[in-house]
Amino acid sequence: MDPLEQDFAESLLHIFDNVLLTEEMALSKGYFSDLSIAELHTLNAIGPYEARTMTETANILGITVGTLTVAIDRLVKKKYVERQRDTKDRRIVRISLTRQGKLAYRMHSKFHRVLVKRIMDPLTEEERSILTKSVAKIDSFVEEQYKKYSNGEQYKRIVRDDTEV
Amino acid sequence: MAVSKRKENHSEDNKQMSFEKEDIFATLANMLSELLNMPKDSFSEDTMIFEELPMDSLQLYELVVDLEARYDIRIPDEAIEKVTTIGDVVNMIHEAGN
Repeated sequence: MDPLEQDFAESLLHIFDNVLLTEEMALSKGYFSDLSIAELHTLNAIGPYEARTMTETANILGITVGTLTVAIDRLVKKKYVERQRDTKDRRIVRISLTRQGKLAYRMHSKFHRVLVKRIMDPLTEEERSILTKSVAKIDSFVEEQYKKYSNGEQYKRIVRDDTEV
Repeated sequence: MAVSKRKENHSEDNKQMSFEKEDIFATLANMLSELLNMPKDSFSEDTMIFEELPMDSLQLYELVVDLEARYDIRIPDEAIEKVTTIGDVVNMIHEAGN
């Protein structure tokens, strides 16, 4: 590894660690200290508007419906998520955010927006464009690696219906 | 991204909601009064939301989430960033409903 690659590797690891740590600290000191980062990301996957099925949400998060069911049970208990049965097909369960869930979603989005703004604001247009393209390349490379290591198992597991009878 | 009506009407209350500017202002003044514990006549269309009102970011989002539910509209963060006065919010909701 040449010195430039060494610096890059170190910075990349610092970014992973520090974004997560900062998110956790902001969360623990904020209004929604009873939520974990994973739970916040579940709220993000559900989204603030139309109710989603369990399968849709599990697909977005890349987890199984079984794992999601456990997470949703906790979020329902904490009053961030509500479950409704589909009016046409009672076997289908839809989930949506409560008012409290929507507030947590909005506050968390704000955290991400502020983070991006602080990073991008000091840059020139050209630097912003280069950074965005480079990060997109890193993102697709990491996603490819993830798919390769998960060996498609996860994707097979999450293709099941979301009925809860 | 502009403020928009949601594709399906999920809110029963929304069927009775007026998108006339005067009515929107009255509703907004009521909501702000309750949220900030201030008299309704403290607000005018020219009130600068972020400079004149003692509103933190959670209260701002409470207002946004409640307006979305009441008018059955979507208010993206980009739209919130463009708002300066109460009149801007009134216009934003009026346009979404027309």
